[in-house]
Amino acid sequence: MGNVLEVQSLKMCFEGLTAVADVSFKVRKGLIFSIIGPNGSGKTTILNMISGLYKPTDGRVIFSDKDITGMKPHVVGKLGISRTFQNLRLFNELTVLENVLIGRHCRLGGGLFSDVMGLGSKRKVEKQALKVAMEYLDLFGLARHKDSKAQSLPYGLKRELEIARALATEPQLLLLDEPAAGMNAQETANLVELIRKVRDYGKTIILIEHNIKMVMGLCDHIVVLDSGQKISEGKAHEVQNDPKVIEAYLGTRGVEHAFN
Amino acid sequence: MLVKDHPNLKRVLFAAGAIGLVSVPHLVESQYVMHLLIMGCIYTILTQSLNLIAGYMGAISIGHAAFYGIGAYTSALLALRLNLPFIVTVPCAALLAGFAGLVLAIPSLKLKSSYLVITTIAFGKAIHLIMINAVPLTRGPLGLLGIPAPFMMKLGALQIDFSTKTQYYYLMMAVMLMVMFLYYRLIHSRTGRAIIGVREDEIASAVIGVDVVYYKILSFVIGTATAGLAGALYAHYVRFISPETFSIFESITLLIMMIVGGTGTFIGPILGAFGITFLLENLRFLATFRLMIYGVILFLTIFFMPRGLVGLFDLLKRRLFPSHMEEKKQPESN
Repeated sequence: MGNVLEVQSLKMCFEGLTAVADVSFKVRKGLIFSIIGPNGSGKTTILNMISGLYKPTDGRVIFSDKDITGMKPHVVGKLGISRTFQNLRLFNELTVLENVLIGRHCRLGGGLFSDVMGLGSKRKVEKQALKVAMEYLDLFGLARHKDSKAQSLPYGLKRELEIARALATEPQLLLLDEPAAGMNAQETANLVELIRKVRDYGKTIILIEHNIKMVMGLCDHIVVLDSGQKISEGKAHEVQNDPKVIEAYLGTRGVEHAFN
Repeated sequence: MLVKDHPNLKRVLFAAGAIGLVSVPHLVESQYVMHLLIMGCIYTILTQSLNLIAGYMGAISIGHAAFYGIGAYTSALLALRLNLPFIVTVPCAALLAGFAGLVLAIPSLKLKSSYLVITTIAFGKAIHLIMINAVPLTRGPLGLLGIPAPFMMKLGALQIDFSTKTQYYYLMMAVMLMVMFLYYRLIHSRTGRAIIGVREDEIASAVIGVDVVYYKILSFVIGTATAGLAGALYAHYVRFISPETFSIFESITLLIMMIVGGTGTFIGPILGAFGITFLLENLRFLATFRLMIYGVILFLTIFFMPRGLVGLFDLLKRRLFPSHMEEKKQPESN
């Protein structure tokens, strides 16, 4: 199996502050890939660069053998990378169904003219869009909430709705930014099941997560960042025993302190 | 969500409204009331076009009257100076207003809310000043006189013209219903959903493949072109236009109509436009104090019915039919 995504010497500076310095990795197709690291290590910045929200200062992002560095987010979205956000970005005032329907947007044909004129083809497109959107809601068990406002959903379901909306764009690569943030143990367990299910549908997933226990059990491949640098990479147990990783999480002084 | 929940109720309301509107000239004797109804139609088109920009796309504009004015002046000047027929001048007016909208949209829609509001005020003021000061073209504060009434058409023995109020009323209603129909189609389509998505969250819309800049500009251009259309219809109706009509107060009137009716709702603009048109006429005895009434109306609306008249009707419906509400609530509480 080939690589879905390849990140080459990615670098991001914000007015002198280097958030990400020279990070490279390859993501193989069909795997759950994880980026972990302490707060401020540049994880979200990398996702923002992949999804086109930030233009990298230097380096390249290759998606399915295509250079997508610096492309606009909606172009990247249409090419097949979709994502969720650490602080949930749902269309709160819209219904659950409408949220997923907007997710279908970039896969629907037709333009302004056929939309306004209500041509036969448009009705067919709308009917099909509705059917597909309902399939996604069914998959996530959200179908019975379809007419509720997104805002009114319980927290765990909001997270799931955001993933459903991202999947509705039919991505090859799904970027999840701390999907378990704020979830209790039961919700986290459901989420893990869900992520596995999505992987089994043939999607590749990049997961950013604070919950190390969850990452270790779930992910096929892990990259560890610290202060914008990649400090370790490999399978869960390899990463876990890497002294550099332990140092990054506990801190040198923390380790010294523990020995004194 | 009064309308959304009840497709049948919506149809009934629509049909009843349409029949009512058609029979009005036969029931109303007063030319003055006919005048108000025609203005109500024009304001409905204007308010709905503002609602597309401010209500659905989420960019508050306090310069909407400028596009109304561009449409009015374009159509009037083409008719007066070049003797072009109504059927040509009206589309030209809409196109030019839409083009002006495009010119304003490209740089200013990148701005964040409050800066955008200031930009639209400045644009409205600039157009207003041009109308006053470009005397050779617009005759300045004197305004344009003698704008011809719409065309006369002869189809064999049948002769159609729009010189009386009743005839113009039918023309305005036909145009208004056409505009409302097309807007309904637009809002309830893939394009409409994308526009609403942009209002709700630009970043979330972008990463799921919605071209945010395109939809912002598109809705702005459609909205301003529609305002231009309304302006042209106004000019050929009153047959005299002056810059005074297209000042910032007109823009604010449109915003109040939108907010009182129900921002971001489809029938809100109709309720707001007709409601405020009739209310302000009945308050004419207050002379300049009428502007104070604007403030009071806006204040009361925002405090007591933030979702406008549509929101108020929604609330009444829930009070009257509580069983329906419980049915609706159930999935939310799970």
